[in-house]
Amino acid sequence: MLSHSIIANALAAAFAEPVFLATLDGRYAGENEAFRARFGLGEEELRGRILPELFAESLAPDGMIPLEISLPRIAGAVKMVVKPLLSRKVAIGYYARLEEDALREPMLEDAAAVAERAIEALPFGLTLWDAGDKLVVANRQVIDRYATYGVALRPGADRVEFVLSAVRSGLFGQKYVGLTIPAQEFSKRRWFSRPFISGASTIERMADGDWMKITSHVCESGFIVSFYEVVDEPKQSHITPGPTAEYFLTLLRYLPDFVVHMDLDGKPEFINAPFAEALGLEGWDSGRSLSAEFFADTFGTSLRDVVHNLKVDGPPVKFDQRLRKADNTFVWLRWSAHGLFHGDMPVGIIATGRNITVEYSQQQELKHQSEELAKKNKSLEQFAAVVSHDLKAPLRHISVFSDMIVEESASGNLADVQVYAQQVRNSAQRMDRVIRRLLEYSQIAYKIAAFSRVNLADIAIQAIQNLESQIDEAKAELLLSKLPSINGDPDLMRHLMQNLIANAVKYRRKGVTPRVRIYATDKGAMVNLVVEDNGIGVDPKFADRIFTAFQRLHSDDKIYEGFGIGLALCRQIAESHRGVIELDSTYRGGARFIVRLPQDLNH
Amino acid sequence: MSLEPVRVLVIEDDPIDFSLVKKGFEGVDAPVELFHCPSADRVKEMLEARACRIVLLDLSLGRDTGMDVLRSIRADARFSTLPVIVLSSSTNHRDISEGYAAGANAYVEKPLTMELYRRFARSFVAFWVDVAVLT
Repeated sequence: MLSHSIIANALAAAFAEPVFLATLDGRYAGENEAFRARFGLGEEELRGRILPELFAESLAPDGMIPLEISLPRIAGAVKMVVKPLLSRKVAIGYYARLEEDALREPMLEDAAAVAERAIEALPFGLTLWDAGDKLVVANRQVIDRYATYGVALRPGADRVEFVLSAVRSGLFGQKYVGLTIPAQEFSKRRWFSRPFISGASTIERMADGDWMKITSHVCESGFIVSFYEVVDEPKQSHITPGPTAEYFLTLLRYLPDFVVHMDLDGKPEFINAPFAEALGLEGWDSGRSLSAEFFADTFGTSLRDVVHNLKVDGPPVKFDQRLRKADNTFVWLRWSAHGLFHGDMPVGIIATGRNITVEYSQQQELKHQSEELAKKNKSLEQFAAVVSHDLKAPLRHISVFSDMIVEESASGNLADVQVYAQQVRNSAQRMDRVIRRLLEYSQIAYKIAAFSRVNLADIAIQAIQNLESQIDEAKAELLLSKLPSINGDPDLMRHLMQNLIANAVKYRRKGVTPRVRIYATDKGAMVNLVVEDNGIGVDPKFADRIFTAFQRLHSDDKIYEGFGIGLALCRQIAESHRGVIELDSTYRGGARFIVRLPQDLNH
Repeated sequence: MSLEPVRVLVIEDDPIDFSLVKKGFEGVDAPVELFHCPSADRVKEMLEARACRIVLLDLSLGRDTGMDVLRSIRADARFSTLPVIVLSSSTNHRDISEGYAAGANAYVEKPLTMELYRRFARSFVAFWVDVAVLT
């Protein structure tokens, strides 16, 4: 059978003159409309008939012989000119035309051969790939060059396999030899896609030192034609983009926003000048590879997450990121990443980053201020509560008892006067204590922290020394473990530690030796400072309330002195260090307070 | 004037303040019987055991604020209509409105002289004992 029957039929149809086709073994294969009309034949009528004259002849590939052929249903032999039908220089059959009809366009007869000769004669390499990326034709120029590197180029070869094996063979330089990327992955590369290569050219330095310019065009049918030209070492002008592209590149270059175009592996293909400068990449040009960590380092988010969230026609993926610039200063960037798609397959990312440092710091400052304000309002409320209760109560007692002294003295009844006078004095003393605590609270709570590197163990030792008399009096045993250093205010930290230790010693169990353990555990970026005792503990339902100013859980202050202001201060201190303090309500052996502090504060 | 003295529960953590209230009522021979409840834990137990018909409540009760006690009384079906008079040192506007919102029948500032304590006791009796009809 005629293997390329479609091509052959097309060829036959191209002739205005009557023409029929035959297979190599001399069977009738088909004819054109003109031939049928001349002899009154029906379609397919003669298909498969053996043509003995043709069968007997042995024809040279480019031979052309006159033959008298007898055809069934046609009286007498017909004088015909028979020529082999060539496809890539191989005869695949014959076609025959009537000798009496001269060709109107004699060249047409040799069109295929001429085209093939022309392709071979081209001064540059040429390949033609069909819509399924299979090789249709390649000329000697290309075949020979690639053959030197052991890359065979046969009709039907796969475009991806071809390029990949050429890359791996070292044709484009030693650095790609042994490239392990699978063909499947390789084919997803953006520069493989038809929209990308259409009309594009690339200049590559070949292993033999030649510079090769490869230009590709995509035809409407999806066929790709590529030309391979050996060029002089490229001057800047060769690789300068066209005027429109140049215009846009200029725009990008001078845009104050950061612009980067990456492939899906996070490898940047284009970085505009402001971004390159920020990254310390002056003189960076596309193609220069950056570290694999480039993406994570620069964007602070995983490439996978970004790629995962990119959708065709979807909104851009937005995120804020603090970037350490090459000059060691920081900028806050609001990134907006758009996907580049080939069909629905993502092939790249274009991200723009806007410098929002000023907005960000204003926003942070505002947030910080409103938090501070809320805290101060809260403290003010607590002050109001203290003044209206804790401070007013003793004042009222002074008033009532002095009034009673006046009353009783007036009536000459002096028996109780001394008791009342005693009450007045006690109340005045109580009031004095409250006022002292209030002052202490206001001084600590509003002290502006001055940070330095402080060793918590040194601080703990100072606190213990300050509490010496209480500790001695309670016969308390203290166990101080190794403590880390943090960034903090030494005075405030000592105050915090002193308060916690004082509480641990103060709220002891009757008849039990107070034991206080001070230790720390590391939790990543945080230090957990723990002060733990074997005392009377705190009812878990008050775990939150104890940190509010002036809450007194042990109402009988004849046994336990103090107005519970200490823990409120501890909380203020912990918070001013961007930390938290909490009561471990799971601990049953006494009270366990945990202060979680960041190890490094970047103020 | 009723024959039976009215039973009043005084919820007050400060023993001095309780003694002042007591002295005030004694000073006017009020027909009331006062029961001292020094902590929030025992309020309901005492209300029931002593069959008190009126409550005098202090707002600063150490760890349990008087406001919480008031809310818990109001939330309890047995005492939801019980007259509760807040007796507090605080004249803070917030405390006053919060007190009424929580269901106080009256809010009284703790007196500053013994004479004022007696006047409070007289007014209390004049209204809650002589005039008001209790449940």
